[in-house]
Amino acid sequence: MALLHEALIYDDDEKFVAVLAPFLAEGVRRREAAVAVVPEHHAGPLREGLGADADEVRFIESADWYRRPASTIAGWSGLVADAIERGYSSVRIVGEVEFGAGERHDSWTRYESALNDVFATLPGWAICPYDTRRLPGRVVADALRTHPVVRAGRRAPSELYEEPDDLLRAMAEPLPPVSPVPLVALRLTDPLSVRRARRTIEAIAHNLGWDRAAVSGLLLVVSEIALNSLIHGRGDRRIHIWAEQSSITCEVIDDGDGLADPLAGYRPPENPRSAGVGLWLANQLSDWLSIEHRDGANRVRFRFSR
Amino acid sequence: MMLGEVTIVLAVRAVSDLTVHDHLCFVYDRPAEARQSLLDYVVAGLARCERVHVYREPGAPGATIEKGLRAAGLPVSDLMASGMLLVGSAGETCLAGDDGDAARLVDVVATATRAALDEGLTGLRVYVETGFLLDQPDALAAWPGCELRFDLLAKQLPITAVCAYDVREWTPGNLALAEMVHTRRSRHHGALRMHAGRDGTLRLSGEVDWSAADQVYRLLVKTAWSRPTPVLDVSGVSFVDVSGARSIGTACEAIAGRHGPTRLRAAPPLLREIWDSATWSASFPSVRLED
Repeated sequence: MALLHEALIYDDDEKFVAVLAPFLAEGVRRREAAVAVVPEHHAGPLREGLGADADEVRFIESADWYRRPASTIAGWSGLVADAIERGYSSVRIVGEVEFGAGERHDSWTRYESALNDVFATLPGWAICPYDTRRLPGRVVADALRTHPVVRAGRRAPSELYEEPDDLLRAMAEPLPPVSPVPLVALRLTDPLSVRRARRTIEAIAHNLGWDRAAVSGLLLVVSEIALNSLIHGRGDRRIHIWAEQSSITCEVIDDGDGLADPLAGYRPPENPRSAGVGLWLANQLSDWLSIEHRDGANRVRFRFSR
Repeated sequence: MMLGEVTIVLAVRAVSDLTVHDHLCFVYDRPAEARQSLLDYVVAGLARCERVHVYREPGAPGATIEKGLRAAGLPVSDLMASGMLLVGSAGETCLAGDDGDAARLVDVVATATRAALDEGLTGLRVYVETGFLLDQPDALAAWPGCELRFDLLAKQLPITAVCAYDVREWTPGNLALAEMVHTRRSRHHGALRMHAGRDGTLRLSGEVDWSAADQVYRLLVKTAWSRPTPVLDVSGVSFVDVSGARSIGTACEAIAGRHGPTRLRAAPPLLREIWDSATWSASFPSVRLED
């Protein structure tokens, strides 16, 4: 069984409930696990539409669920694994993505595309509602590129659908914006220079008043990205650091070829020895992580906010 | 002052500052300074009414200890005749058994300490030169485990111990491994350490990162036989990355057949984060993360 991944394009709440309540109710009747990740203002009407079946559906607030694309993928992995462990054969999902600020729209469109690959063999059916009253036209249009099936008036295969490998290459993850001059620039020459970079960032965070717990994830990501650069990159490796009161942004640059697999960092690692555990964790922990390969330079920029 | 001079000054200070229960990894590269350190160490022990055992190697700094003590005005013959001072061969003492097991030294020291206490002395002070291990592959492989047992013994009895390593003879990898299983070290670089607490629990502390991952793996595997409990206290791990966490997990699996599951006590949040995010519990079933 493969994942059915559909988009629902809608412009009124009655239509939202009219499509999704029967969809989830049917899942309940078929003894499938049913999950609705929706904004608070949609939870009430959807519960009402489901009637008694609402008790069998797990509701999650979308603002809590859609914080970072990679951790949302990890969340789905855990949720599906849990459902299967409890004896469900399949999962029905309503997932209304919180696209957030405009600068992150492409991040979430890339996430929607990656789902088709990461969960290709997942026994489930997911419908992602797109509210045309709230979302920009470009975001809604991109839903046709990231969902094999679209319900817009009628249910039909999307002729504009693109394979994840193609879309992720065509649509770059936007880089977290920074000022032109970093606060600190360090050269990465060997593993001990990675330790020095950690010390520097720890000192910066300390001066900003961040406690140890807040900075430990950042130090881990710095280590993993810097080591990836030392091991896989080429030429002059540097780390740049920007600090603001509520965020620290770092960037590791080298002359490497960049990632061969555009889905690296989205797929959960198969085992501890498989490549990509560090990048997976970096994606999990960072508030914003972007990898760019341009003009012969590979650039990984990541931001942690307090 | 040159960097080498700084290193030896730190090493000499480390030896003269020792107190009971200290177990020092004394790394030296200048025999003259090492001889002076040994002399100070022995004199300080005798002054504190400790029995002193020096286990030396031919050609190493300990070879001239009697001469140095006489020059300092000490009655060496009387001290040796009364048992206050024993000077013996490190290799012969450690490898005396048929099995060539260097752990015999631990039993020798334990017995000597109890005898010293019975005689009203305050404890035992030990100095061991380690060069004899370098042409004994089996003993060398088992040495980190011996050091760890020695560390535990020094916690439990009034023992002060110095293990002397000639940096010119030891490989950096083996030396780094040896340094980690001492409560004190003369070289002030790196912070990774594994040593025994008074309750017998082993503590791993410092930065367990990519640079240290291989050492951590080797240390955990090589010392498995000497650990009194399957508990490893990791509360002192100040940083761990994926490579470091993987080395712990892989080592615990490698020794599971003989050692059973390893309980990582007081696992820091970062270690848990890696374990949970990468879903390693299934891959490393012989690791138990505990609060």
